[in-house]
Amino acid sequence: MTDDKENFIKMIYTTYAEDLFAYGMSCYPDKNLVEDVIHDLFLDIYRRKENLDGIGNMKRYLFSAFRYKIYSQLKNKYLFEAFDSDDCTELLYESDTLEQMEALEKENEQRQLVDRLLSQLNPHQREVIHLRFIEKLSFDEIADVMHINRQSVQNLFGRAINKLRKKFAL
Amino acid sequence: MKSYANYKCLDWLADDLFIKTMPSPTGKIKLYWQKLIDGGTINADEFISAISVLEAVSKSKPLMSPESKKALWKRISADCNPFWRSKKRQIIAFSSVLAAACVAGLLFFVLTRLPQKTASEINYADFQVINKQEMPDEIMIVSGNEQMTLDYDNPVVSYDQKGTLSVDQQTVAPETAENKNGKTADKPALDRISVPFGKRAQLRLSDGTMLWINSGTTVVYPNMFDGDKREIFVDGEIYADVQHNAALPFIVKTDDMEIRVLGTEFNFSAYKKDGIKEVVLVHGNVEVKQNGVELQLKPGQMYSVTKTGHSLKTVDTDLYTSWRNGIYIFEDEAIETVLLKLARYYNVTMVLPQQLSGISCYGKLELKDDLSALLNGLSQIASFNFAIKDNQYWIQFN
Repeated sequence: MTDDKENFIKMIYTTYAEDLFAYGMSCYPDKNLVEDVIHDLFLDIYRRKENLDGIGNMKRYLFSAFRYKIYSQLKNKYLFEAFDSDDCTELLYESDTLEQMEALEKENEQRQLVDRLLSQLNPHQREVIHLRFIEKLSFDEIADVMHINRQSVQNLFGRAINKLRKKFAL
Repeated sequence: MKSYANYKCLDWLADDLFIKTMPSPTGKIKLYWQKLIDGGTINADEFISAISVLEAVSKSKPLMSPESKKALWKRISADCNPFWRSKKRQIIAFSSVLAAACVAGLLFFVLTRLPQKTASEINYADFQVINKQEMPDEIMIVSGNEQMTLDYDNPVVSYDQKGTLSVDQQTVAPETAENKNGKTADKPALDRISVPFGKRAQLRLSDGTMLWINSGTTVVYPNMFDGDKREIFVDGEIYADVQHNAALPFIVKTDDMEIRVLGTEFNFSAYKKDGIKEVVLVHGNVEVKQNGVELQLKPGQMYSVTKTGHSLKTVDTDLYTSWRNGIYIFEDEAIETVLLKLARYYNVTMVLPQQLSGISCYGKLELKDDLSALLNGLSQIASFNFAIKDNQYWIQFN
């Protein structure tokens, strides 16, 4: 019985750990935090009394539960801005000069550049971008995962893209 | 065709078809996008700009290192239940009798891997069908002129030193004329056992060597050994616990490969149909001969031969021997591969979508369950649906 459960959970873990990690890191690039939350999430699944059969779409379930956990953890640490509030994080990074950006590009470190660009978005914008570009979810599905309405998703997405394009000089 | 005439970068990125198929479209979708660009009806700059943004962000996906993944699982597993522990699969049968006589060696020769299909290979058909292979429905033993079928799983077939056959300790020596005359079958003859898909069997050879025979396997062997060597032929997969006898080397043959041991335990698998061969040595020392090439394996190493070449690498040997206990262990294996192996084991036809799902799995499957129950569990975890139609299993990934 326990053996079955271990197998089952390990299977879920092996299948989805990377995706959960990427999702968490995209929003909050803090490896310890993200790993802790994944840890807690799987512990919760283990402790679930009822059968896991009831879970329809495993991935959707994991993403929602993961998101809920990461936010409740963060609530203890920081005070959070509302979804549609203006981006306070943006100010922190405005000091990047064009030269610096060009130097980065010259070094052909596109990834670093993109990481840096993404870091200039607020966590919710990064989350939308991740769910859209990496997980390839529709706006409705994203709204579902983030518990906000479709219009808010589109607003977040639009603002994030505009900011990315401006900085990326595309 | 949908009109994208006024699409800006943002509109493209908000388009579900675009997002789901870019940046690496295939087949018809690729043509569709190509046509749009060539047709000049869209603003190509905006289109390309959208692709660049998508590509750049896709590349920045945070990656979890395999080490982190393993370490984190250890943590989870330890906290879940302090009583969870790694259970070593036991290699038990006959160990008390044979342990003393055997040199400490385990060799695995595995040929179960199906050729990897690549996305480009399966563009033509919408589905790839894995057909069941032709095999008898029941375990069949051919001994001399006699033929016998066994309609249950995992029988123990054995030969004594005089070559007398018994099944599950019941002597079933064919009533030949010689027997009737009071003679025993003291002349060596080649016997054969065929184990169909979905069944397994154990075979004890006249020298005390024990074979575990996997699904879809035929073994040809003498009912008693004479001469200066012990030689058997295998199409499929076996695990053998070879009685030590330095004077009589034990040789396992397939059409173009030969494994020579003096006394060891080894797993040998050579499904002719696959054209892929893998030899895995757990400990001890064996010699593999193929196409004039001879090589010795070190414990934990796997020698594999495919149509395109051969390689030597270190592997987790458990993965290649667990079938003996009716368990299929897989680690980071594509769900498609898992399903294909099940299709072979249960001798059914599975129809998979042409697109690879990208899902990989880890775990153990108890192969005794019936296939539907097994797929039920698996589908929950790996997010797929399946339906049984006309005796075929249709798989659809979510």
